Amino acid sequence: MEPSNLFLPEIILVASIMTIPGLYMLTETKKSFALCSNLTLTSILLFLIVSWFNPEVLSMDREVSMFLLYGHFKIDIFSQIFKIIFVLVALTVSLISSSYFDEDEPHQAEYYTLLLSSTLGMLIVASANDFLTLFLGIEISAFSSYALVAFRKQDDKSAEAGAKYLLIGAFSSALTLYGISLLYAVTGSLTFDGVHAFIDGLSQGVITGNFNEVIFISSLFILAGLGFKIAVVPFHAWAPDVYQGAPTPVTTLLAAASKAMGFIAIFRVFSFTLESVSEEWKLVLGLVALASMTLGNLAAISQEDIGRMLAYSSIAQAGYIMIAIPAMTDDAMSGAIAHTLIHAFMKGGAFVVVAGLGAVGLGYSLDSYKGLAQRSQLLALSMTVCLLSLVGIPPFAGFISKFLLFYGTLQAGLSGETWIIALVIAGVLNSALSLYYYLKIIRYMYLYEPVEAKEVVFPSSIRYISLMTILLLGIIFPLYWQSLFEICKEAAIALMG
Amino acid sequence: MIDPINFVVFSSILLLIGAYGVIRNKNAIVVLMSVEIMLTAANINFVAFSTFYNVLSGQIVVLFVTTIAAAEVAIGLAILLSLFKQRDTIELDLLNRLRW
Repeated sequence: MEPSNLFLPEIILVASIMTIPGLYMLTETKKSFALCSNLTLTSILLFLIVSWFNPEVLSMDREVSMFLLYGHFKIDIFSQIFKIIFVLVALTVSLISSSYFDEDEPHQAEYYTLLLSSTLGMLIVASANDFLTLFLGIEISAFSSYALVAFRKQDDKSAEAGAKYLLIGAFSSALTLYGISLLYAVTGSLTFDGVHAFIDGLSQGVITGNFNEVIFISSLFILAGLGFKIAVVPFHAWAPDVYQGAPTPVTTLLAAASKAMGFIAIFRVFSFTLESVSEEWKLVLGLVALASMTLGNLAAISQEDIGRMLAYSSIAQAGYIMIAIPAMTDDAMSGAIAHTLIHAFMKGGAFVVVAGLGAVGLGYSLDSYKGLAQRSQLLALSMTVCLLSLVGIPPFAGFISKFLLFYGTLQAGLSGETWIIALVIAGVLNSALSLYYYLKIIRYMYLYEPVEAKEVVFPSSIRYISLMTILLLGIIFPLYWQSLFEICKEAAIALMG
Repeated sequence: MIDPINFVVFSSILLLIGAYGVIRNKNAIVVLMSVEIMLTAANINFVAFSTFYNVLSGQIVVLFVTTIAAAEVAIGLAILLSLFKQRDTIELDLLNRLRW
């Protein structure tokens, strides 16, 4: 018997996606769309948090995974934490959008509808248990975000970013699909469990046949396709352009939630489904991780636009997370999950401040951060906490997750393959390198005078969210790092079976 | 029964044609068309091996992928149209205002 109330978040989202265009027919007030979207996301967030702490209400068990829709939809601790993150990010984006866009900005109904449907795609990816559901979820989320990136039709940059994102995204999803079709050709199955069982049998000699080359090629295709989503070198070229050109609330969604979605897909495919043929793809993933963190950090140094700089830093962060996947242990995976979670908060928090400066018309160049501390202590502090977290300086949350990630991977390297240790060393050196450009912004904010003496009042939603970011990254996560670690460990065990 | 390796060869040729079209073409519409060819290549694999293994799942994927391809073109044309209204061109080489 399938308990349909486990489906409630998705059902509420679909209902709301249909309600907002209906509201557009009924009412002229533009506030109502934002209100509807905020209410939807808040209710889903509450539902997820309540069901997290009281799983028995839904006849659900934290230890056991639940399957819906004939096993195509999986609900376990891994999917639930990421669902909470996605809804939290979407709620943040929805809240800052209403202060970022003008009151009379056209097409607001479409904007919130697309925002919600993008979130729906992410929730589907979090629970996907077969390749078709995974692919559909990624596409639902991606199509909505193409339109969101190009949302400001009159803005030249927004349209260009949208076109680039669309063409590269379409190409990458075709590559993923071809990789999936090759896997289907070998295994005759689409579910993760079916493919996993077949490949397991293949590596243990239960099933005869030599499919190693085909599996290697298909894993390359899937890596290329999903690598576009998480923006790792050499599939990163779209990220700086899109992060710069898109409206900043949309960039927040892409940097914080869309990236985590790509990582979920990569974790499910590489750490579980293709786990027993890890010899085939291990080295490729390691090289991608190394190239990604090095090039990301080097390119970030010379950026003059805050969106581009954070985009390159995001590429580097993706490289750090990728080093855990070849390590293939529970500890390394729990570190990767922790860093993916915290990364959503850090990048989200940083882009909220960027959106705040954009909303009051200060612009997006690094120069506009000069003297931010004199304009608003709160926003400057929030940005500082986010940036120091991104470097991984104690006691902020980024330090804890990065420590778990590097420590878990190092353990795996010491007990197994030694080349993984080189990846960890490269990660630590890269963190030191990244300190330069993060500190540059902090220096601008505190030590310089504002370029133009303009009095600004930041919107209250941005100030409250910045305060929440400081509390979460600076106080709550550092204090409760142990429970964060335990949750991530449970999630890693649920993921790797 | 046709040897399934023929289908894989055929689909990989289609994939290469599509990828070549994406990489070489300067017109955004032609790039979208090339992506459609790549999706078709994957579809051929799915249908061929669905028949080979005698399971229906592959053919169901094809139905979904066809729908996705249609949606992709719809969104793509909408975005390219709004770009065309601003710049009077959709040449990809001219998309260079976002650069450091």
